[in-house]
Parts: sequence; C-alpha cells; structure tokens
Amino acid sequence: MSDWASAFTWGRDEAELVSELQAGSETAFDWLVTHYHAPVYNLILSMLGDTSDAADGTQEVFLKAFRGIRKFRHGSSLKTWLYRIAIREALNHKRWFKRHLQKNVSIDAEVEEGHAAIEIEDLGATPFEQLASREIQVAVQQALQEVPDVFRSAVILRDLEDLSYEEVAEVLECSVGTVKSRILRGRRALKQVLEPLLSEPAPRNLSSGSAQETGESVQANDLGAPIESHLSFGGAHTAANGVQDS
Amino acid sequence: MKCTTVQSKLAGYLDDALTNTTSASERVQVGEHLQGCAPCRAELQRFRKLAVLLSRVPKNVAPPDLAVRIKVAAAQAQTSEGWAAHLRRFRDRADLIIDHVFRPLTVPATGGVFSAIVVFVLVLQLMAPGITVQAVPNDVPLTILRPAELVTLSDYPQSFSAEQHEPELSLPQGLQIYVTVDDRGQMSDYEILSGPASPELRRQLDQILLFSRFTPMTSFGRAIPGGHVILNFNAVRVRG
Repeated sequence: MSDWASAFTWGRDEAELVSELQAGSETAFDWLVTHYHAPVYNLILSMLGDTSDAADGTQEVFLKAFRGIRKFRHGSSLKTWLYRIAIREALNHKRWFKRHLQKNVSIDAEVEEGHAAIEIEDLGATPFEQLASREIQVAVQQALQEVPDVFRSAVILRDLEDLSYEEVAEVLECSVGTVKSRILRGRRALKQVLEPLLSEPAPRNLSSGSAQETGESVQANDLGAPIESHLSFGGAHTAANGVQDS
Repeated sequence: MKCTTVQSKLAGYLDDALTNTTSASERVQVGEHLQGCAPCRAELQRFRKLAVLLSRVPKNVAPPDLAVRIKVAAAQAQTSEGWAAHLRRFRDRADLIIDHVFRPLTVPATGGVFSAIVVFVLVLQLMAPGITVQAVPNDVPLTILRPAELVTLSDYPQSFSAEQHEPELSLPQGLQIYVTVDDRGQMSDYEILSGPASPELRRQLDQILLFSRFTPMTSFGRAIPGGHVILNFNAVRVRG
C-alpha cells in the first residue's frame, strides 16, 4: 500500500521537485504548500502587519508560483524564488492600499489590524532581559510598520529570516551593496522607533563614578559581550557600583 | 573621528560582513573613539540591544487551515485553464485516486469498472480532501475523501517525566508538526516542519502524539491510512 507521506519527500532533490512542478504535478505543489506556507506567511505578515492580508497574500504567492513555475531559473533556490514573489506581493499590496484608501489619511496613521496595539513607551518600563517573546514580537512588528518598505524588507530578510547577503540580493533583485545600505538604514529607523526599549533607564544609585558610564556598564549578560572583547570599558567603574560585568 | 561620523557607522559596526562598507582602518578609528566617548558607547549599546531583540522575535504562526485553503484555491484556479493542462492533472489525479482510493476498496480491474473509474475522475473537479464536490451543476454534492482530524491531544503522562522541568517549554519560533494518521486513528509517523528539533523535544512529541487520538481519513466512509494533520504549537507543557 503506497503511503501519502513517502510520495511527498522531495527534501533531497530540489531539481526533481522543480521538474515535477513544471510538469503540473499536484502532489509536488501540495508538498510545496505544506512546507513553505508557514515561512511565506511569516514573511508577508512581517511586511504588512495584518494577519488577514498576510493569509491572502500567501495564497496569491503560491498561485503565482504555480502559474509562473516555467520561468523558474535553475540556478536559484526555491526558497529565494518564493520569497521574491512574496516580497513583490507585499510591496504591491502596500502600493494599492496607499493609492486607493489613503487619500486623506497621513501615512503615519496606518493602524495595525489583527494585533492588539501596544505602546512601545510602556514596554520601556520592563527591564530589557525580562521582555516576553510575545511583547517583543508585537513591539518589533509595530515598529517595522514605521520603517519604509524597501528598508523594512532588507532588515526582515537579513535580521529576522537570517538569509545571507547574496540571498537577500536575489530576493530583492538588487546588488549586495544596495542590500547592505538598505539594512543599515532600516536598522537606524527601527532603533529610533524602538528607542524606549533600547535605552537604559536612569540608574537609581548614583555612586562616585560618572553617572553615564556606570549607567551603561550595568549591562545584563544577554547583550552578547563576547562580540566586543576589545571594547573593554567599565572594569574600574563597576566596582564602585557593586555590579559584576560579564 | 567625530561623534557624528562614528554614530553614522554604528548600525553596521557589530556585523562582520558589513565592514567592507567601512574599511578596516575606519573600524579601528571607530573602536578608538568608542573607548573614550560614553555617548557613542551608549548608542552602540542601543544597536546591540536591537540586534538581540531582533534575534528573539518569534516566528508568526500561520492559521492552521491556511495550507488547505491554498490547495483548494489552486485546484479551483486550475479548472479555468486549457485542456492540455487539464489532461496532465487528470492523469496525475487518476494515479492518486487509483492508488489511494480504489485500491483500498479492492475494486477489480475489469474493463467495465475501469471505464467507470475514468468517468469518475474526469468529473472530479477538486482533489482537496474534505471539500464537497458537485459532479454536474444540478447533482447532489458528495464527499469522496474526508480528511483526518485531531480528536484529542494527550496530556504528557506524569509517569513518563523523569526530571523536573520548567512548567512550560516555550517555543518562540512556533512548532509545526505534519502528522500521518493510520486507519485506526493513531499517529503512524510525524515530521517536524518547522521549529526546534532537539532529541528531547522529539521524545516529548513521541509521547504526546502516541497517546493522542485522531479520526482517520475516510474514503466513501471507510477508514484508510495516509491521512494528514498539521499541528501548530506555541508551547509545550511538561508536568514534572
């Protein structure tokens, strides 16, 4: 008795899956949907910030993929190809929205549906390392909506999806240099919106050292201190504050 | 180097790969400036926290029925295409139906029955499971395939947990499992589509899924193996 599941394992040979898709195989398409609908949905939701738009967009992506599979270039990977269609879909959605529904509303006033909106300032009261996953998700999601499209996509693909610079360039159809510059600008914009979460709250006990320097050496261990071993500041100052630096 | 220059370079300072937008000697200069400048250090800390924040963003979990909706939509879109594409798909579906629907019913392969199968297939517009199909516009809708479904997810049995664990194992990235259900409504196999795949998690999943109950996929009302259910988890609770 043949097993549905074994018919669906194409994990090893992507070229074979592509051929099957180009031949119009429905089982191949089903496999593609099963295995990629979640990351595509995640990507589009990060771009658009609305769950029903993301669901509709994901569906469009796969329909377009199936229709356009014959144009698939046998150099690139299915993942970057699907992501490319997804980003295009997300960007087009935004343009349509702006053109048709935002005649009198300022762009800044876009309200996010499908999520409870939070005040980013409120989250600033929580110590950074105690932020819950859900709070981080909502805060970053909201902040992303305030970053211009082209920079947002670069940051999402690189910093949230962990694509390589070359993969991001393939998805965004631009040079690696452009990708890097967009990522930098996206991060700067994000940092500005998320400022309340990223800044140090004022230290309560001002000891003899300068307030600013002791303030920032009160860093928790989560900040990836190993990255900057040559930036060894705060050693003498932490003693005054009684806080161990990592 | 002045603060304004340094701060313009901080967004990429922590990434190794972005340093070719900043030359090596520039990087050294930035590092030296940072050692003596508290405000710029504070700015760098904000970028560092941003990086940590972004690395901790959990994946959005797709609605559980999204995959099926897409497949249905695709199948519906196909009906508006030309005959060549139609023929390809009909052949594809005929194979599937013969393998998975008619063989379990042990239909004898005589000529007369075979032509009945062909007619059935030609007339079947949608192959998505669980969707009612209308053979011709005025006909009675009939369900050929009913998909497998989850009945209950078992609690992690207390007697099996050897150590004290945290009450909840949170899964910031979500966990998506593709479960194969046999004809008795039990899990016969599963695959982790996305999410962590540690051996410990697999062991927990083995237990949970082993004691969970599903309704099997049915064709013409008879249970057959090979049904599938996609489960999305946000957290796994362990009783300890």
